[in-house]
Amino acid sequence: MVDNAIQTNESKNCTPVKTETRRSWTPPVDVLETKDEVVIIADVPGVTADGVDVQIENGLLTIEARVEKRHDSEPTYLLREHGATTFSRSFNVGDGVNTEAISAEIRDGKLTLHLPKAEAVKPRRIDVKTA
Amino acid sequence: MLLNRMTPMGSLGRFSRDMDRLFDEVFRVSRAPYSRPAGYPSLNVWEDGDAFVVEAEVPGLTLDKLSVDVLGNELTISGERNDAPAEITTIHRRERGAGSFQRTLTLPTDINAEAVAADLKNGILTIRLPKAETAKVRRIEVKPHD
Repeated sequence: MVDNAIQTNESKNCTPVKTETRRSWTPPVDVLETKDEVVIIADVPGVTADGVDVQIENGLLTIEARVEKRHDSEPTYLLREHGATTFSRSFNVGDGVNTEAISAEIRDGKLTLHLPKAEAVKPRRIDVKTA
Repeated sequence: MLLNRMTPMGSLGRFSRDMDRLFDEVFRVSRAPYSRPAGYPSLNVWEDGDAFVVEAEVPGLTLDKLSVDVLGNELTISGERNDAPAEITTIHRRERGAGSFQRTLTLPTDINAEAVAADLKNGILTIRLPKAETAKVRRIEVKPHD
C-alpha cells in the first residue's frame, strides 16, 4: 500500500535518500501529506533541540541529530538493543515544496518537519523554432 | 494492519523468545555489540549494584500513554502511540508504527516493586528496579572450627 503511494507524483516532493553509514543510525520516519504541507516525523529518542541540525541544499534535505550523553561510563549491558550517538537521514525535496518556509520542532524525542507546499508551479511555454 | 506491528505480545512465541534471549544474554557473552530489538520498545538493560536499570526508547510518548508494571521478576512496559497529525490526505511512508504495545522482560532476580522508579526524558524511559531483599548478596561469616 505504501509502496504504491511512493510511485505517485505527489511523493516526489519528499523522497528519502538511502544512507548507510556506520557511525549514525537511520531513524524511522513517517512522511505524511496534508492539503497544505508535507510532514516528516522522525523518531530520535534522547535528542534535544540543541542536538538537531536540519539543512537543505540543492533540493537535498538532511537531518542530523546528536544523542545527548546519558552515562559517564558505559555500563556492562545484560541486553543492548539501542545505542545511537547520531541519527541521520536525507530526503530529496521536489519543486512542489517551498524550501524557504520549512520549519522543525522537537518534543519527547520526536522530530517533526513541516514542508509547506509551494504556490502552484506555473506552466512553462516552450518556444518552438523553425529549423 | 498498523496495530499488529506494535503488538508483539499478541503472539506467545514472541513472548517466550524475548525471555529466552535475555536469559542467553545474561549467561553468555554476546559478540555483537547490539541485538536486534525483540519487541517494542527497544531496551537496554544493565546491573547497577543492588538494582537493574532498564532504558526504553519511547519517542513521542508522554507519561499518560505509558504504564510500567512489576510482578516478581517480570517488568512489563505497555502503552499506546497514535500521534499522526489530523487531516492527512496521503501517507507516503510509515515506518514508525502506531497503536498499542506491550513488552515483558524477565530479570534475573526478583524486584522490590515498591522501590521501582521511572523517569521519562526526551523519549527515553529509564526504570530503576532495586533487587528484592532476598536477592541481594549476603556475606556468610565463616567461623573458625575450635
